[in-house]
Amino acid sequence: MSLTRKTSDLKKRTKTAVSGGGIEAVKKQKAVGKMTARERILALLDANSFHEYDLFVEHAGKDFDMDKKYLPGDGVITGTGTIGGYPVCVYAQDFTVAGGSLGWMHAKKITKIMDLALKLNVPLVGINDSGGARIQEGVNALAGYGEIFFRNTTASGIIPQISVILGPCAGGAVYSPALTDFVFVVNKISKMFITGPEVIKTVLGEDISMEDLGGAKVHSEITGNAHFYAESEQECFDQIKQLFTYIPWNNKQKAIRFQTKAPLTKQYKIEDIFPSNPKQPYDVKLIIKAICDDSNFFEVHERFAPNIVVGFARIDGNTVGFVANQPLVLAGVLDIDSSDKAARFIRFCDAFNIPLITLVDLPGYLPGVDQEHAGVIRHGAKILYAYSEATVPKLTVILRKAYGGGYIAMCSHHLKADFVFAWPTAEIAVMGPEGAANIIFRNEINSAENPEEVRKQKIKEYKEKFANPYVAAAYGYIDAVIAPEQTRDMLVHALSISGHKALPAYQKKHGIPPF
Amino acid sequence: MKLPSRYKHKRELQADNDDSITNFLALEGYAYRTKLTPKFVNRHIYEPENLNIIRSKIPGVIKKIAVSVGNEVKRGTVLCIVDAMKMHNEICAFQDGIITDVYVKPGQTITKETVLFNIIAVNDEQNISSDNNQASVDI
Repeated sequence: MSLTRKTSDLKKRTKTAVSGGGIEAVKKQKAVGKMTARERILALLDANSFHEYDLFVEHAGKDFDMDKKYLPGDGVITGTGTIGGYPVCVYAQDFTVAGGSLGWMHAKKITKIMDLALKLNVPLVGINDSGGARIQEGVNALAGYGEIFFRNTTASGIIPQISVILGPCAGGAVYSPALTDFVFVVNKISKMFITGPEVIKTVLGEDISMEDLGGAKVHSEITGNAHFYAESEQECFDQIKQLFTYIPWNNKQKAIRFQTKAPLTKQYKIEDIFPSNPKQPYDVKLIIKAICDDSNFFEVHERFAPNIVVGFARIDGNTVGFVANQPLVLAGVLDIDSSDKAARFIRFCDAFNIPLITLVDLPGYLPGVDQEHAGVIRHGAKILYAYSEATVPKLTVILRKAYGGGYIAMCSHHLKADFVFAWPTAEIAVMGPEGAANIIFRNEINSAENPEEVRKQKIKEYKEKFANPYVAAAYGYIDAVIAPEQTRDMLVHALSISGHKALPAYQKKHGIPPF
Repeated sequence: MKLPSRYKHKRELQADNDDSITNFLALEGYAYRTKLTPKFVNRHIYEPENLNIIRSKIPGVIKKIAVSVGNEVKRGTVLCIVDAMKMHNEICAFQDGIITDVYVKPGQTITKETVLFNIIAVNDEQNISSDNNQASVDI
């Protein structure tokens, strides 16, 4: 065979392999509003950057006549490329080939690209669109999942791992995304569950749609499994591209520095945003925008536990992670979900050298039997653990209320924040004036002729004496009381001198966080 | 459709100073005006467990019923067997008592929390003392 003939043979083989499940299957995929696996990779990666490997891998099924079937690429596309110039390893399950089902060689392709990502120290993006385990391959399909989970865990904290759910992701398959750093979902397309509606119908006799059981909204609002929600696949890819500008390639690097841009202070004026009445709610996201570069805040977990706000922004060109109580929702309390959400974000930032900025304004932990019984002690402890363990620069600004356990948890000096600033409006005390006065002056109030009046008087006294930043400042728990408009300057300076922060580390294998 | 950023800002500020936030959250004797999440509104309200009512803790199919109305049972007596999660699960009495109602039949598919039996305790005093520990759900 001449070279030309061999090359043309290669082209023929390639053409067959890249055609995926064929015209009919592609039509079906399009009919439900989904892009094909290949289109997705091309839409996500920089133009002409995608390089595919293992195109000619064939499946290893022997039983149930599987050996007579040809599954192009065994239902998954793997390769490398760039996103906004960042190198990435990527895989996309191809639903048009045997429903994107996961067999042994399918899993092998995925684990191979995962191993490569870890070796090369570059981020991994996995696009999930699969019916689940390929039942015909039996226990080998389970083995495949296990190998993927193991690698997700090994790579955790070394390279950023991103899961994109663009189709069903059911049964064991859900645990790979759950082990990765960020999960992206798209409305009406993403579906995640351990047991699907059919099993629930058979076992329970309960009717529920896929969407209501594990759709994009469920996972971004109720379960918190998904960090980013989009209305379309294209919007989802734009979100991923944006995320990549904020995070480093691996845990030995820092995120790329951008040009410093001042916040849009005409639009986001702290004095306009921040209410003078200390009990009035406001949107803390606007405060973040008033502080960060170009007023550009990229929120993570926007729909889940909105009583705490977490996300990325830049200060002086460098990426920072913001964690802020949101007085607009549930008065900004810490509860199970918000503790979980914040703790996870803190650990991501710490693993990938992103300094943390905490904005504090919370009345405390949320009371309630449901919270106590669901384990608010165990879950609430996660935020303490995450902040205490974090070794990146930790900066805290107390805007208003910082009461009780909430004060400690929100990166206080006691959890080894590097700098704690407080606005003059800060109220730092063991508990709120109403609660404290009722306990301290209980006898006085109860024995008074007019208890209501005495109560009010005592609350007022307590407020004046303790609901301010100066008591804490007198003990050195606050490094500086600052005017709100000084905030950005203080943060810029604190970050610039924390660039070489180094802490002695105790010898240990790992800690035992309150999982 | 996305609003240009200059309009978006105005909209944000309006939302922020929105007096339509009419919900309150009471904490430490103070009612904070704030938005509530659907998850908070739909939260499970606590009810102390009634030991007289035996409920199914897992969904499945009733394989066999071992008692009938009027039977006296001891704590730990097997009341029925539920075929669920690839196992034959024994459902036992929590307390000594008399079966007053059987609500299910063999072969019946049951969901989680289905009421299976009613048992009147032999020693009622225990129930009264456990009720005193009921916690308040108001916050």
